[in-house]
Amino acid sequence: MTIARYFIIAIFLFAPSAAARQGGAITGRVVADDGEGVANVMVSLFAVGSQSGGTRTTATDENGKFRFSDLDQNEYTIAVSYSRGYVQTPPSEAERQRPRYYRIGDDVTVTMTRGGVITGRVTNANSEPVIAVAVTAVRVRDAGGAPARGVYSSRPRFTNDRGVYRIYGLTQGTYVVAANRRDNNFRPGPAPYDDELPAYHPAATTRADAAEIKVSVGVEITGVDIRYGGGRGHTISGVVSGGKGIVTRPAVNVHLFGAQGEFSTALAYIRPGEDNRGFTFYGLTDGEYLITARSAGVDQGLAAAPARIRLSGADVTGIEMKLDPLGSVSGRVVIDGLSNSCDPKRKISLERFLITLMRDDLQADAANFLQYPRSFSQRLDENWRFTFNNFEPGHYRIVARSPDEHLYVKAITAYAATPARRGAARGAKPAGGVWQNGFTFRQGEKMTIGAVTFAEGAAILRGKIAPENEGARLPSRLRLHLIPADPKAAEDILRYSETIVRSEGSFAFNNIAPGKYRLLTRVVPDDEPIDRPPFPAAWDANERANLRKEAVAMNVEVELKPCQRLTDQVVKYR
Amino acid sequence: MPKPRFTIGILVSICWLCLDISIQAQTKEAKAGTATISGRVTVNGEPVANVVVALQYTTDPSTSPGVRVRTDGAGQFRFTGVTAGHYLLGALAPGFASTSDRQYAPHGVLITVLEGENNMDGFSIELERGAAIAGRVTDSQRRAIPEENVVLTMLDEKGRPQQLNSPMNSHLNITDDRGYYRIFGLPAGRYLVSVGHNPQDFTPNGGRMVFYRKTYHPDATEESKAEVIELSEGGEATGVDITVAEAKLACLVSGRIVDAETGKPIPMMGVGYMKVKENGGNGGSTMNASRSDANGKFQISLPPGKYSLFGGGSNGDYFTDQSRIEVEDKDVSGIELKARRGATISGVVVMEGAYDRAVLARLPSLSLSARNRSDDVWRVISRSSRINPDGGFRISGLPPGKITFSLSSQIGANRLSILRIERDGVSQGRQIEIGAGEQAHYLRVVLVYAAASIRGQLKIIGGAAPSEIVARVYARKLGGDESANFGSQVDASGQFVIEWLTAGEYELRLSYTHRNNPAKTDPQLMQTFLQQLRQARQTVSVGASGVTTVIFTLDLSRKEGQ
Repeated sequence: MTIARYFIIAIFLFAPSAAARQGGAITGRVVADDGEGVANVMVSLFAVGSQSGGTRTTATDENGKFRFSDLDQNEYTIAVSYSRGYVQTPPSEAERQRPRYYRIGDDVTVTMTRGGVITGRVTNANSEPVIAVAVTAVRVRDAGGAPARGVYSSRPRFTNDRGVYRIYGLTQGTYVVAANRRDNNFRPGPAPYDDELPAYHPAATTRADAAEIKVSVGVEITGVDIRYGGGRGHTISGVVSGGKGIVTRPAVNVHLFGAQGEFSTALAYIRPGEDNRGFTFYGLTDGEYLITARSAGVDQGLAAAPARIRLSGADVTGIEMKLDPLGSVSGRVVIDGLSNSCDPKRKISLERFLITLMRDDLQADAANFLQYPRSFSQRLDENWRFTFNNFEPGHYRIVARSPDEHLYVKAITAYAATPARRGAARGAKPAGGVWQNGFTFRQGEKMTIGAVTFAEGAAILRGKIAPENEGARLPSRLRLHLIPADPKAAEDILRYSETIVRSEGSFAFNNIAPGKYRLLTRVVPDDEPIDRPPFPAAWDANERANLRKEAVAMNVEVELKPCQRLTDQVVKYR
Repeated sequence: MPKPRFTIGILVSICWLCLDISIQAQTKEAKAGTATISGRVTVNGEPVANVVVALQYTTDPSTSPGVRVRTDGAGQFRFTGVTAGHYLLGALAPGFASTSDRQYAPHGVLITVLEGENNMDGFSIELERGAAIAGRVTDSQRRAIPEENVVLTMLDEKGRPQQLNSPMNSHLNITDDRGYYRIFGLPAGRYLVSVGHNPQDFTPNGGRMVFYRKTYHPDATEESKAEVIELSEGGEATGVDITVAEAKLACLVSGRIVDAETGKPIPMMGVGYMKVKENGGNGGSTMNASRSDANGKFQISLPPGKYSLFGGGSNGDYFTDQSRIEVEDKDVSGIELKARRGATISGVVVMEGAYDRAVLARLPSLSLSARNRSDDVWRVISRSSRINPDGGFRISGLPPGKITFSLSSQIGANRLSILRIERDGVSQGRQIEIGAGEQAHYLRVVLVYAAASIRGQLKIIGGAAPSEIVARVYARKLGGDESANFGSQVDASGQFVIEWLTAGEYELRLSYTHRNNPAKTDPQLMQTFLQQLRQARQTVSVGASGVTTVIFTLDLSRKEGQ
């Protein structure tokens, strides 16, 4: 039995030369815990901010080495896909707060370890083996024991003719194991179990009654047997129609999300003798479900409002999904105050600005349904404009990332939303005012955000949190908030910042507008998931008031002048 | 013990002269199903209970379970209320093998249920217990090779290999994290087991870097030296290990796409490749292996071999020239693909003859595709455009050459087909030609209902049809510039239906494929059968709608030469 160990991702950085030329390379190696290279692992390189054109993928060679060559000056992130039984250690919190970016000339080492293994046998009521049924392991708790937010289920593995299955490559955590669960939408072809109910280890029909299994990396757990009942599940069926949208494809994908984390896709198409695109989902247990439908159009995407369905003891029919056009939003970037520049000689390059659109009204659903990414990032075009297309109605915020340390986001102004009319966006008049609480995007709207204004003179604040009592330990997870002291800026979300304090107590705030601030430390609650931090506290008006109140009580003030670098701030923690 | 055969017996007679049904009328009544399909499932002649039997629409693009029943204690199954249509009938029993159906999934038998059918009884699905092969795949240093596909080749009685490749089971025929595999549900027979690829046949995708040369159990790189695995019915062969010889590395191929005239980089263009075989012919291709980034740069990985790279294969306003490369053992860089703006064609889609408004309303849900075939590289570039409510369309990004048009795939009844293209009032047939830099506007694409169908039967007299042959009927429309081909499989009862035809003259011919079960038919009979099948030919006139009936008769009592 191998012993689980913690793995650190070691990065060897070579400082890129000041005159880094075009066409550089990023190289690296993927190694296992025994130091041996891991072959044929897919490594992906993403140019930060580009949608899909900047993705490169390669695989490691026999010695685990990989290389991306002929790259331009840019910032990149690297992702390694779990494969062949190996998993990567998840990044630490601080690393997740500030995602790791690489540049040309970097040499990266990624360490992987053999994932956990679960194996067992699936039999039916007559103790006969159940053959070629899909078995999945669903993570219900993360490595720290906290309930897993979001759904992670392993790729389905199939039982052989003896009913034996083997699931490998699992990350650390607590799992339930199920046979014939609708997961991952992996459809190898018709099987006798397609319209039957799932069965959880050891002999349960729902996740609630399933036995939990703790999995450690490098450890194999045997005897995880499942008694398969094989009862017929119920169905959910309906039609997809063009609401205000014109559906150009003959078939449309309809997705089903289950409250127990299931996911499957059905194809809605026009059956012989019918006029509408019908769909049906089979083999479902009782419970809550969410159905979505999307269609990629020639000009514009279409989506239907999600439908919530409760299945209890009978088939549900007649669900209608009306497809309506998706919206778009565009705006531009403006730079202010160049006369106060911290470094007048530097050149501000267009391609380093990054604008992110983030949806923040899905918290209620995030636990159960809809695991789509909810943030989109864009670079600017040569006219300093950005456009986001094809996103669904909801509440969104714009988050802007500064290209260098001397610029901060001064303001985001919004024009009024216009209904979907071609050419309307350009002619819209500014509604005025500073955009504070994001915007609600309705079906089919084309909206123009006025401008994202950056200004020169940003300051940097860095330092350390030290316990007031010598020798006392800091809490394991601390968050530090920077709150504007000026009452006029109390409701200006852009003036609030927060950061996770690293384990040794250090912290960093970058791109801060000059002014007077208060600092506030807060302990991160234990049930906050490691892999999905919540939205900034300052986004909520009530939370802002709380932050201000607590900051006044803590009474740590700091003043930042334009272009100042304050790197030795010490904050006492009680 | 003689191996069981897969047999079908149909105890119903079909009134062929009664089939004068127009397709339009059929669409609304199709919902009321009155047919019954029943039969029995046996294993080695013994009826087997609780086996799932599925009846699936062959035109069903989704993977819905279709209609299913389980066999009762006597092994009997019965489907009731079946609507007219084409179906695949088969047992879903992963631990068993179907002796006759070894080629392509899905396993099963094609059935055509016609209007007014009542009982289709007596289907017999015969299975045998499946056998298994298991082993481990390692390299020469005894390291496990995980997630590698294991390929089985079945040998016929003469020892000739036939690919036993059920695409649906490929997810099962793969090594696990320790390099172990187990393949089950196999019919008895003789097999070769291998992993890896032969460079000349292999066109990669998925960006893998490490490939293994095709190696047979136990460690042979040549098929003649492979060890044969004998499987008896329901038997098992374990320890079928494979030691792969050498690993081959893919190399990085990088370059950029630039505008042929201005030299400016072209971002976000798909980059694809086609493999060039040793004999100069083309192997497989991938249209979109990667995309160029904001600076027009791209990178793909390819194993050694000769390739033709190109950009803009599937979408956009640009297409590129081709670039021939050879990958040996190191990276290839600096490839420059020159992109040119493709031509734009536009016009309006109209209906021939009288039509109702409902047709116009359907047009926006169709798209028009134009495909350009480049003579020197056999490459097809396809672009499409939606048809606007007023019938207008606009397609850009086409390279010069001959352009053929097609409508997007239509599902359901009332299909449309392209009758001709008119340019400046002159009919161009079904193709137009544009030169370099030329545009073509004000085209008229004339559509017509493809409402006719040909139905028929393949009658065999003077003997029984060989059970290991699956026949197909092909209809080729005569008198067009670009001949369109339509086809249909002949189902288990000898019937076939070819649908969605426009009016005209068609020549019908027959072709066939082999099932992989052991040949039971007398070779002389087989030869006569195939010879007559190859020579069979009929020409029919098809009207604008309605059904035309065709009967092929093969007389197996006729000797060769008569």
